[in-house]
Parts: sequence; C-alpha cells; structure tokens
Amino acid sequence: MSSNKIVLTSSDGESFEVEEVVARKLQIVGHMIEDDCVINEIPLQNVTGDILSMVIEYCKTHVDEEESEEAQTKLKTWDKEFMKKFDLKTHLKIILAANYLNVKGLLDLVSQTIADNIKDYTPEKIREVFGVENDYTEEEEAEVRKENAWAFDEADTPKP
Amino acid sequence: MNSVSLPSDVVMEIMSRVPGKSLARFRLVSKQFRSLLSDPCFLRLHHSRSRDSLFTLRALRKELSNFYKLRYKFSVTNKANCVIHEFKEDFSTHRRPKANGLLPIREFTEDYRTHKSSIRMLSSHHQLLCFVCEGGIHLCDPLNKELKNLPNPPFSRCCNFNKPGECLVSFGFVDATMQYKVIKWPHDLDENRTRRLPASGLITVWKKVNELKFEVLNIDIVEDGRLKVSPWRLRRRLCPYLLQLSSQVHVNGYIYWTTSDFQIVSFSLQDETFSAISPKPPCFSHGSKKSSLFTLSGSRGNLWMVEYDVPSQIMEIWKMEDKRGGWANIHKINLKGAHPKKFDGKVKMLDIRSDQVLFKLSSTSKILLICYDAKTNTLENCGRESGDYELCHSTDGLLSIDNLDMFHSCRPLSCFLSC
Repeated sequence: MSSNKIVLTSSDGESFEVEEVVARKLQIVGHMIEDDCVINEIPLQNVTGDILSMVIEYCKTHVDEEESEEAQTKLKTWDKEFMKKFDLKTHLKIILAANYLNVKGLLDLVSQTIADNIKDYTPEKIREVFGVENDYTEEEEAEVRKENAWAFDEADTPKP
Repeated sequence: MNSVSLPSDVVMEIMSRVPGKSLARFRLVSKQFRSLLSDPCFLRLHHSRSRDSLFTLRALRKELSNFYKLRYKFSVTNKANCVIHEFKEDFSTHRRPKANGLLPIREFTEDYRTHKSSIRMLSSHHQLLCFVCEGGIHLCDPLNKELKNLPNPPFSRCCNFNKPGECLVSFGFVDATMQYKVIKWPHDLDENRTRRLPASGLITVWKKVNELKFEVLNIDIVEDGRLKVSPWRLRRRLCPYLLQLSSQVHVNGYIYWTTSDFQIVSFSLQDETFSAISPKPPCFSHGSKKSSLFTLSGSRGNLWMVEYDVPSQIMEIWKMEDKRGGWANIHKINLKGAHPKKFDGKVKMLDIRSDQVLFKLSSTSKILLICYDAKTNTLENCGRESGDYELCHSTDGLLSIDNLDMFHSCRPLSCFLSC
C-alpha cells in the first residue's frame, strides 16, 4: 500500500492531510480513488470541519482491523469512549457524515449509540429530536395509543 | 435542542436497533414515522438485527400440589444474562362446564402410561412461542407476557386433542415471507406405528404414507405489527418416511424429525414439502448400534444431532454445516460422574456456544442440568429440578398478540420478497 497523502477539505474550508489508507476508509473516497478521479485534494461538500475531524479520528484508529480477540476488545472499548465524548446532537451530525462518506463501521457504531440513548424516550421527545411534526388529530393519536397500549406499560421497560 | 433533519434511510438505520417495544411506542410520533416503522423492508432489517441480540427464555414446568394444575414459570434474560422479567402461566386439567360450547382453554390431559402430559412448548426463534395442549393451541409472547389461543378447525381430521400422548403440532417462522405457520398432523395412529425404543419411552411413528393429509394455519404480520390469522387449510403431501413424531425440532423455517430407520427428514414450512437430509450424520450411518440414543436439537439457528451411548456414557454432538453439506463432530463428552448412577435416561441439549454446552439428563422424576466447558473439559452441575426445564432463544420484534385478527380475508405484505 502506498503512503500517498490525500487532502480532505470540509464544507467550511478546513483541510485535513491523511494517509491514503485512512482516506480509503471513507468509501466515497475509496471509490474515487478506484475510479482514478482523485487528484490530491478532495472537497467534501456535506461535512463541516469539526465533524470531519471526528470521522478521521475514527478511521485512523480503525485503519488496521486486527482479527485477534484482544485487539477487537481494545477497539470496542475505544469505540465506547469515543462515543461518550459527544452529545446526541453531535451523534446525529456524525451519523449524517458517516452515511454520506459511507463509513460502515462508524455508521453501525453511531446508530447503535443513538438507538441505546433514545429507546426510553417518549414519542414527544422523539418528535423533538428528529424534528418530526405531529400530524395526528387528537382522536387519531388516542386511537394509536390505544392500539399500542402494551408498549406504554412503563413498569416493564427494561432500564439500561 | 435544535433538531437535525435526517433522511429516512438514516432513521431506519437507527430505529432498526431500537427494541420492538420502544418502536411500538414510537408509532405515536407521526403518521409518516408510523408508516416507516411498518415498512416491510424496515421490519426485515429490524428482524435481522435482533438476531444478534437473542433473548433467552427459560421455562420451568411444575405440577402444583393438587396435581390438576401445571405451572410454567418463565424467566426472560437478555444477551448479558440480565433478567428482564419473570412471569408464570397456569394450565389446568379441570373439566369446567363448557362455556358457549367451547372447550375451556389451557386444558391439558395427562398420559397415565408415561406420566407425560400432553402439553408442549414450541419455539419459532422469532418473538413468539406456541403452547399446545388439549384445550387448543396458544400463542405466547414472552417479551410482553401474553398468551392467546388460536382457533381450532371446525371439523378436523387431524390431531384430536382429546387423545393424550404425543404433540402432533409443529410451529415455526418463515423468514422469506415473514409469517408464522402452525401445522397439525394426523392422529390416526395404530399400534403398529408405535414402537418402544430403549430407555426413551414410547415413540410414535407414522406408517409410510404416500399422501399425508395435514392442516396449516398461517399467521401473517400485517401493518403496525398486528397479526392476521388465516383459516386452516387442508394439504396433501408425499411423505414416505417413518417419522418419529416426538423428535421434532424447528430450525430456520424447517421442521426436522428422525425416522425409525435412521434418517433425518425435513419439512419446509415455506414450500410445505418433505425431504430426507443427505448426507446423514456419521453416527446415524452405523445406526445398528442399539445402545445409542439419538436426539435432535435446534439451538441457536443450527441443527444438532446428539448421540448418547449408554454403556460407555459418551455423548457426541454433531452439527449440520448447511443443508446440503456434511456434519461436523463438535464435542465428545464423557458423562461418567455426571450422574450418581449410570445414566440411562433421556439426554437433551438445551443450548450450545462455542465452548459451552448446556444439557439436561431426565430420568423418571428428576431433571439434572449439566454444563460442559470445552476449554477445561469439565462438567458442572447446574442444578436439579423437580419439574421439566426448557430453554429457547427468541428475537425481539414489534408484534403484539393483543388483538389477533382472526379469519378475515388475509392480505399479507407481499412485497417482502422483493426487498
């Protein structure tokens, strides 16, 4: 593997020089390299610098995925700690970036983190987080709530 | 908090990792959200993800002091072995006055010859379980502690529930069509078709029939995790095998039996056809060995064959690699010392992981649970139970059996196949 350097530029003009192996973890970049349409600088329109730097940090850590159990456990611990550093709003920005840049491992990690965080939320709170408008009429809402009454039985919800 | 607007594939990515019960609550978020959670592709994704986080259901069956009641005590644990909840269900033998001409539900009878009650727990490996007893067939959702009975066919040739004995019902889940199926097998057995095998009691065997008649009930998953129950349909299929009915296990949409002439036969729940498995496990090929007992197990999405040789007390575990492929010998376990006396009862494997096996040794009244550790090659006694102990795995899901939709014209989500 060559140790070519590639410059990734965020939407707000911040530049990051990374090794090609790291940049390839971003599948969107990997495809560009394979299609030979890479010069040395790649503008990434949909990601801001602060988020891109987090994605790059993840890719650098995961650049050689070792098979050994020990290495895997170590990576998992790192993943957990890495996710803990950010709040839900940042998680949502990271997931958008991971989806756009196509970083499979990070997409899985951050989806699971968000899922774990929101699973005990109320529907009201979900609306707020995901920016969803409640388009039910009062009657409809009552009907849906009745149909799903079993899920609102709070005493049973396992706490993390 | 300012919200971030997410494309629906990203929302699906997140929601597919949220537990089913939370998702049922999130149906209240908005109409659009609700339809996304009902999307067949989403349900499929959620199903495939929840396979990585299996729940374990342990069921202990005990007779209550008056002998007319059986109590199932369930304990549901998650992957980290934390107890999520425990609950119990009672089944009774009391013949109560028939209400509305219907048999009281949850009734079972006991076979006094074998002391085996005709109540059976069948697992689908996908959220729901099935209990079969004289009073009928019940669906059970262990995650939401619900039990609901299914309709009986009005004029059934199959499975006369008044006859105690073997369970002649199969139950399973078909991934490809996202539906449960319940099958009732005929019960018109005569003496020639039952035979006594060493130490394992009475085994019921069908005669070779070229055209076997049985009845099938579909339970389809429709919008919002509701279940639609189809009417019973009569089917006729070629079945030239001597199936040992009580040997049945369910694995990934197939029911498997051993036969009395040492074959393994599968029944595809999707196609509703029988076929013999080839090749057979090597231990089955030298089937003339009279001292061996064979049991199947459907643990963790694989088919296993357990051979127990009574004189040497050696138990061997074989795993079917794939439907066409061969069998691999996974463990060879010496059971000497696991039991105070030389054990000649029934061996059943309950669970298996890469280096651990949990199995039960059942003799007339006591059940012994043994855990085998392959790393150290040791046996550990995990308890002695005075009731029957069963264990199965189940995935999370968004289903509610709260209001089963019975007998209506059933329109399954046909686009499941295309996504």
